[in-house]
Amino acid sequence: MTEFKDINEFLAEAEEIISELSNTLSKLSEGINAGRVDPDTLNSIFRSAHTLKGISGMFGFAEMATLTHKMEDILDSVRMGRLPTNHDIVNIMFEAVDLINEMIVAKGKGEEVGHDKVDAIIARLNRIGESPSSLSVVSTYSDEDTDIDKGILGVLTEYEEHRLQQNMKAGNTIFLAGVEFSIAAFDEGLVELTDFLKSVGEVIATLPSTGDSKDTLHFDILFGTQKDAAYIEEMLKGRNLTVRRVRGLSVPVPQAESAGPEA
Amino acid sequence: MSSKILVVEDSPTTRAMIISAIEEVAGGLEIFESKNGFEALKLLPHHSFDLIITDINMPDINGLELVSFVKRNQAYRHIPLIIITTEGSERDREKGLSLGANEYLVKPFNPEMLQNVVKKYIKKG
Repeated sequence: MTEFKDINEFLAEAEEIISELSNTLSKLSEGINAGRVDPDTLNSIFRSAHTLKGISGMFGFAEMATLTHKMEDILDSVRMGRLPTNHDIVNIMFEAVDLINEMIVAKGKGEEVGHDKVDAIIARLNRIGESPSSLSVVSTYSDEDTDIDKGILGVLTEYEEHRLQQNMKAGNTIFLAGVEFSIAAFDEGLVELTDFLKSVGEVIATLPSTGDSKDTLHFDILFGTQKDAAYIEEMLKGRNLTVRRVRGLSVPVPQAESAGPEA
Repeated sequence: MSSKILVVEDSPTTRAMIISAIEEVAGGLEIFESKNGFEALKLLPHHSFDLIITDINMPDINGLELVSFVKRNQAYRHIPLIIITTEGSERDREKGLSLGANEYLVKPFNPEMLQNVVKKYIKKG
């Protein structure tokens, strides 16, 4: 029977994720100080915790899987606007990351970190998750009012739907840009275009489809911005793409005022 | 006759575990790996894949967008698709299956369970 697990592979990836988490948590902290939380940063932190949970679970590292699961739950609530984005959350995430780092170093030596330390931070994370400020947001929506193609709405993840709704809530204009690139070199052009769109707003989703020829791919890019249509059209002039303003999804009504990330 | 399988997963550890598990299913499998959806889009025209295994939560394009692309493309829509993801939302699971994914497995997956699912879709040697 093959051994499916390579501890060195786990340790290398986990260390890389911890390093990434330290950087993105610092960036989030700076964003809070500046009064502007970047949804991409928050989502990147969530994804790091999500991946750590996945790999620790598959290696049977139960304590690390439980701890990262709690982190993931809280970070999901924060990115979905059910919990506020504040320094309390960032600080406990930093503490959790430091502890996971200790656990990873210990695993590398075949040792374990004390259960008490892990249990204590899990208990604190539980309290945050059960905090009365945790908001219950109705996540269903009506797509009757939107003119975004159902084929596009159908592939948005729950998080992407949420970001679309948050952009609407912030009064942003939603655009759908259509662009075609050769299959051989689409990534460079798409990354450049995406970076540009991120400089004027938020890219909510990128959806590939078959291009006009067998050597091309078409991409629909859904993005929200505070800029008006004339500005966006002017900025995108000269690029080989189509852009149209679309009506987004109706915004669900939270049961309390949300203090989640703003677009 | 060997089967070609494409594994799309951004976590190198998870990708390696998936590949280790499916390598045991049959001899002579050709396994290709992509660390994101963009790499998968570039590989698709160059190989006639018999099965695609993808994660959902990935950077650039998500797994649902990849499933949608494959199932709406005349050249690829016949390829069976397995989604393997860490417990996600029920809505994402429903979307994956309604877009045409054949199976939806939740991490941490049991290697034998993945092998049994893969066996259903590969060519019998």
